[in-house]
Amino acid sequence: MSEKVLTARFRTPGSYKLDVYLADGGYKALQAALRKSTDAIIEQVKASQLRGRGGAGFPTGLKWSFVPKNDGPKYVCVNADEGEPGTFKDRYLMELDPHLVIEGTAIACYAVRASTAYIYVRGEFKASMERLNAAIAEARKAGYLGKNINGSGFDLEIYVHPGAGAYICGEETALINSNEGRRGMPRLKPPFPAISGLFGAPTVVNNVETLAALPGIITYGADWYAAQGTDKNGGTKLYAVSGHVKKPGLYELPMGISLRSLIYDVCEGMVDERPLKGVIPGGSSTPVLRADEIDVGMDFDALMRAGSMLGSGGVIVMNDATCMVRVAARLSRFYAHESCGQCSPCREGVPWIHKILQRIEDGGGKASEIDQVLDLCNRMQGITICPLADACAMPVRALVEKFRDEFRAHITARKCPIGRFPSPWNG
Amino acid sequence: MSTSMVNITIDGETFSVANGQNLLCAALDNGIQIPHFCYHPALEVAGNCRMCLVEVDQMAKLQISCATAVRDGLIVHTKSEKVLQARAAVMEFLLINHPLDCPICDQCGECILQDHSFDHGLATSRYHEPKRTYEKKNLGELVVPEMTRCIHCTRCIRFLRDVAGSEEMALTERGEHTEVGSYLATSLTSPFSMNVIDLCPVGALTSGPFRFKARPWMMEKVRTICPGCSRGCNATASIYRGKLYRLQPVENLEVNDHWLCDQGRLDIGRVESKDRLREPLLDRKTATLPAVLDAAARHIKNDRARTAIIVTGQLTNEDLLLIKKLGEVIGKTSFFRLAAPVDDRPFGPLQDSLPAWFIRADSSPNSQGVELIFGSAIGSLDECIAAIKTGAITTLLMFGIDLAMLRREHTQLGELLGQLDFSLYCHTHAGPLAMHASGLIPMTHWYERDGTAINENRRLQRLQAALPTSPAMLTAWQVAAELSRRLGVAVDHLQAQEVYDAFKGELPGYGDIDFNAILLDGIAADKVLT
Repeated sequence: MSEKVLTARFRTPGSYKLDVYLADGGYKALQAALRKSTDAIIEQVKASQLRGRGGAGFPTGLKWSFVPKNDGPKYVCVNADEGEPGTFKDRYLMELDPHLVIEGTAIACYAVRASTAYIYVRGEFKASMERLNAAIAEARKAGYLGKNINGSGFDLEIYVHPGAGAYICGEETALINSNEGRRGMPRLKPPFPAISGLFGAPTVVNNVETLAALPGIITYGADWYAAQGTDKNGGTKLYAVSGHVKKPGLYELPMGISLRSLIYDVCEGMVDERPLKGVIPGGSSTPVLRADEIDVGMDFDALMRAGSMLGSGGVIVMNDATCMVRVAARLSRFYAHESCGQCSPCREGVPWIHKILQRIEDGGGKASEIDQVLDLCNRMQGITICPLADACAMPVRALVEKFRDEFRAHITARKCPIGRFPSPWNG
Repeated sequence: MSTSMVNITIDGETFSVANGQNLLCAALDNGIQIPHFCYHPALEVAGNCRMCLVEVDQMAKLQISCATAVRDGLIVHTKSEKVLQARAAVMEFLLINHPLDCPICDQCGECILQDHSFDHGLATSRYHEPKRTYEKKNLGELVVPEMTRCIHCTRCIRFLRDVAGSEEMALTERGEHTEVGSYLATSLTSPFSMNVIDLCPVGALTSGPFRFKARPWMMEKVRTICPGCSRGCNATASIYRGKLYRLQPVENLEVNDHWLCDQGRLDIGRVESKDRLREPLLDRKTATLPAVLDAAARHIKNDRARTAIIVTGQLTNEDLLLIKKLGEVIGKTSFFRLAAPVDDRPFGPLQDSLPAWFIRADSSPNSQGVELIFGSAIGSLDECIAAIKTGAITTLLMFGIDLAMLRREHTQLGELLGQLDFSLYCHTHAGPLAMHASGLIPMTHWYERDGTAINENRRLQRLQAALPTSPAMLTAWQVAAELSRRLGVAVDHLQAQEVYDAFKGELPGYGDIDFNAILLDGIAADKVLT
């Protein structure tokens, strides 16, 4: 029994084709699910302790249980926006195993009684969209999508909807707005999408990786899946490791693997044996961990206790040649560029924080501005419509607090002490 | 169906409020000030300014009160440390890119950002970066934008899209470059575009006609009724040194909600227009008022039986009541009017977007007054013209009719005036056709007078004089009183309210109350009037 439920076919030639998928047991999970009641499926997913793989880690079965069980249209939106810097897992699922994503989506749709699903793919992922569209066509032709799937009475159509280049459209209500053809900016919650989402109907928004885990849960059982991970953090996770390790890449591993082990065993340690300075554990929105903080399990709860987050599992490993001030300036530039601009604190605060950090990096900062940046992060956090402002505030705060000396050095020396980048302030 | 009431506690004090409404409204209704920018009672909740954040028990994060529904047992703190810090934070964020335009900004003195900044902001700034600006855009002559001042509350966008029914403005770009503007480089086309000027909490959308003309604290505001159509929108006129500078809507949910149409705002220019009649004329030469009145009275006495009077819905109830009395004094006088167009669109509340039902087909503010006071005892303008041609009318008194505004089939009325022994033209404006009249008396303008009028919905509303008049101008009822006196029946009323009080029996359906007791937001008719 393979332990890899997500990457099982990644190295199989033609893995994205229906015949290869079927030969490996594909769509049997969907058929099995269609013979069960929707309540049974929801309970099974709850028992598996599957938590959302998009970054929030919300228990999937619980999210599904909020959807009303009445008649009327319901939707599933597959969040394939994969915008979190450092994350590159969903694109491979879509490119290399699109049928897995489709089968998972179908199981979710059945469970919440949705007969239409949209896969919202970030606009830049042309290959993913091509593979998905081809796979959807194959699946329809073979009767795994469309009307009365497998004689079950369940109808389902899946459409691919391209994004247009906005990180904020990874936020579920902004995604829904964009899917409706509106400006991609978040909505006020409540109402939550499970009650009023796409076109005002009950909607479940799930990440690609979350849905891709469902066939495995149906096939191997909730208990097996839960046992793969740690308590309340079930299953396997795709860890996308980038940065200064010898073997960066995408790894499917049981939830909760130690970060130290991930870096030094799985990825075979640091390039050129240079010392580790810091690791971003779950995508750019998660607070950085110092080299002395990597003895932590890579799951939602353990990382939360350690003052950071699992997020999307995009692991960015940085050695001692990395300037943390530059990291802060570069990350905040991303959030400034991606803020939708709807609410005051984020629209005004995030670019402000970036501008100060950039000036500090360039050598034009003042000593009081380190604390000013921290103060702005604190003032901005928790009062916005969506967590983008928090996603900027938390990593910036961690970088400043944990590497304050580097910021001080930039201000005092009016240049980067590591010396990799020239400063315009020194003439 | 009655609304259930629930108990909520705000800052330690318990209030009974209607269930289901938002917390911000409930607080404001009970005198608790929660600062806000983007919320407006007539618009969909946007929740983007974040200024109305409050602390709610059992909720870890602060909640925006505009989007929090009240429920029984809700406990709220509007002045806790957390709340005050959040307000200070929002103020700081809003001000970093806001230009220090107060000295040159028309909004100064009635600016919500100024007010909240004074209460919740700092006098210094720690923002040392370049401020973001926008290129100057052209939205037409009526709404002049200065978008560097914009705080992105989206009130204008929501109004144009949801209330005015023309989605002409939107958010474009993203992040700190987010811009409120029109999609295309065109003027705003909505006939309600100028409402965004009142809605804008800052000076980002300003009035073109009013630009740089006066400061709000210099002006006196007088509440009155717009005379543009039979809706009778409630408005305040802003006056400075005897000049009318602008009209702003007053909220009246039974009449005009929170809005005025652009045309009504622009028509204030008619008060001072070139064709305003300012001096009495007799046989096309300047004369004194007594001279004109004496001439008119003389001709009336000569041929009472063939004297006729034209009235219109441009006159107030007081005018119409005393003119009717004048008719009785003269004898069996015939009355004529231009028929009001029938408007079978619903009067409101909002069922369609504004353009469909707001501006009424009847451009007279008091057609209902004519209906009520004269009933069926009034003929049409066609009949009047026919009567003049047959010689059945030799003396004609015209009150409130603008000969230049008549349709083609009625313009001969002007030319026929030459056939009469005497014609008296009493109106605010006089064009070439009016010059055919024997005597012209300047009438005070709607904005220069007190009185009452009845709108299309049978609502009795009060006008209040916003502007001073000149001694050469009279109201129509004053002319009627002067003529009556010259015909031997004294009329002792000096003010509009005296006229109303004396004749209110002829205005059934509004309760037996005196003029001064009529509330400024009007009285609905209390029974179906036949």
